[in-house]
Amino acid sequence: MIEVKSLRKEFKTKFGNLVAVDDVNFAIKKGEIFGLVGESGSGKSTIGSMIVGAYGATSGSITFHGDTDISKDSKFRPHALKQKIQLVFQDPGGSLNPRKTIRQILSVPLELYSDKKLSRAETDALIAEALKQVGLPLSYMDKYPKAIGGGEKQLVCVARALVANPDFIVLDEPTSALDVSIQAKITNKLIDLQQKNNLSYLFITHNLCLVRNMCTRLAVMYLGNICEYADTAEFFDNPRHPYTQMLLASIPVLSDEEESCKPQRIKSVGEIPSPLNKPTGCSFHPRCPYKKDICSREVPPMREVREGHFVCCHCWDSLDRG
Amino acid sequence: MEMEEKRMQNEFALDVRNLSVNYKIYEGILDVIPGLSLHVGKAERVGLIGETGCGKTTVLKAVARVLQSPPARIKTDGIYVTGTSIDGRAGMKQVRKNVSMIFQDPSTSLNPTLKIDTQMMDILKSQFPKHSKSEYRQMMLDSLAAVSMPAPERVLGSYPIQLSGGMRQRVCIAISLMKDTELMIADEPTTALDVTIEEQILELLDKLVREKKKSLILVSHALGAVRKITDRVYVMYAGNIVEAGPTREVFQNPKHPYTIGLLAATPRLTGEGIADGIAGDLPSYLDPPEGCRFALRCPQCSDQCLQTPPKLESVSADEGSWQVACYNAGKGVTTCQA
Repeated sequence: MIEVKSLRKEFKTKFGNLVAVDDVNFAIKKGEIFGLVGESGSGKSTIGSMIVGAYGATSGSITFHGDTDISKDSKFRPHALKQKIQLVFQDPGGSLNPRKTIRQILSVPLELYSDKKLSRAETDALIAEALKQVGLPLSYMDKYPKAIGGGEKQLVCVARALVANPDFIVLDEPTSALDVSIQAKITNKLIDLQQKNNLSYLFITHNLCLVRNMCTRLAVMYLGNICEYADTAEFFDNPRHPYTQMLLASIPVLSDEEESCKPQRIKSVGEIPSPLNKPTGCSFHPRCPYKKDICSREVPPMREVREGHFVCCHCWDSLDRG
Repeated sequence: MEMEEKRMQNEFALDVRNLSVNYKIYEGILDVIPGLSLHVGKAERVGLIGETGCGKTTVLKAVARVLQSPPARIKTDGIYVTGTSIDGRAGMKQVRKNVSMIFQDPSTSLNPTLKIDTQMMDILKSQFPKHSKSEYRQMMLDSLAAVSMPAPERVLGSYPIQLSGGMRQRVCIAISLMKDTELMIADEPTTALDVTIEEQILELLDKLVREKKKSLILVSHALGAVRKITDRVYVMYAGNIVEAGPTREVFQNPKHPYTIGLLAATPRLTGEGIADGIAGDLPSYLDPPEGCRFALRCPQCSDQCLQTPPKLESVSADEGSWQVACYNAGKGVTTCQA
């Protein structure tokens, strides 16, 4: 569905070029929820923004449905293509216009993307359909965003993405601003909608537990590079990259069973360096407990360690499960 | 009665008795906390969990005497820090001497216009007056070393913006450690941080609290963090404590329907899918339900629940170590589906 090849994005800043995304490759299949995990500053949102066309790539390519190149800014995209790729943001409060009613908010994509001018009744019917899909009552149509709860606001954002009738939705941390009990509701709704409408998602998050329960495949990013990329089950059974092991070991968990799923011997040390001043070679080497000489000299290549399981590390075969 | 004895002997680092807080606002009176009691023993680590808007921060602010009043109106049978009431001027002194607080957002709890050493100096001057400059500097370096800060000399001369989030939180912890307080209050200390940094900060807090035999209240909605470093936990819902007990046991086998729902809604690393969460929303504090505040979202609600609020009652063999405020606790509620 979406294929990303040697994607690179640089931003010009006062302090020099900031490489936010560097040589990233992955592919998202149709009907799949693909997780993109990483800590702040790892470049995961930048990739999401490039897919929706908020800005173009510096180099590399993103293709949609095999042949359409979408690595350029969205102003080079035809309307029909914009419609197929939608976005849901992290902060539901900030992404809805407080001065418009839910009806007005949801009618914008309809006005933008429909071929002919829709009558009032037709618009209302489509909006009602979208609200029904996300499980909100129709009486919400004439409410303002401030009158509804945080979880419901996020559902309105999802409905806004759905009225455009997309094939692919980028979910940029859709639940991290919400409470646990509401987060559960929204994620279940999202999974439900994905199956019903045969959608594909790019699910950007920092919460590995959510990814474990939601995604079919995932990629872990560190400082603009993908360091590990695998099927969810394979990934959690057999994490190979030291950073992924560190990430897994750091999750505060709720039960002893979960404790036993985590890599035991690795400890979190150090902090993410500034992307303006990336370490040479493997970008993780200053924090890595297994580092060798080669790690600071050469950028490790992506290797397939099992079918569909890729790791970007020089010493992957000499480490155990940690 | 055992509790009364402990109170008499001042064995509690913090003892809050029947605290109630409401806010008078334009729309009416927000009855946030109807009546809440909690205690923290000496060298005990206690967690306080609950979702947004359940009144966690209000309780902490009342304890630290930083709750703005008005609009808040506080009524209590007494809040005692190491056995002394925090009422009045003498009480304020007691709080300043014995309570330190770490806030959620390290970027806003430091003054952006002052260098770190200036900010630390303020605290030192008020706590240990009449020392020389080099003595102060040594104290600062020591406290930064205690939080395993890399390059402490450089940090002292930097502005907060020049430090990363984790380093800023370490500075906040270092500042709160500079005075030798009995009680440390950490209000969501790791919410703004990444997971690998969160791990480091939690380990650090854990180590310091153990070494210095301090009492800690960790407030958080991150349940995992609370499980990791506390002995006992209070679960709050809409201004009430609904369950209190030993952390690991409560997390393993929760008794209150709200705790059950909350734990079920949290995605697990073992990957057995996500439960549906808890139906409905927090009740409005303007007009809270007469009976149990959770009744309207509860799968096991009975007539009694709607009429009178349940009291915390012991569910464990040893008197009082595990308490639940529910009429139907332990009567076969196992799941809390929406």
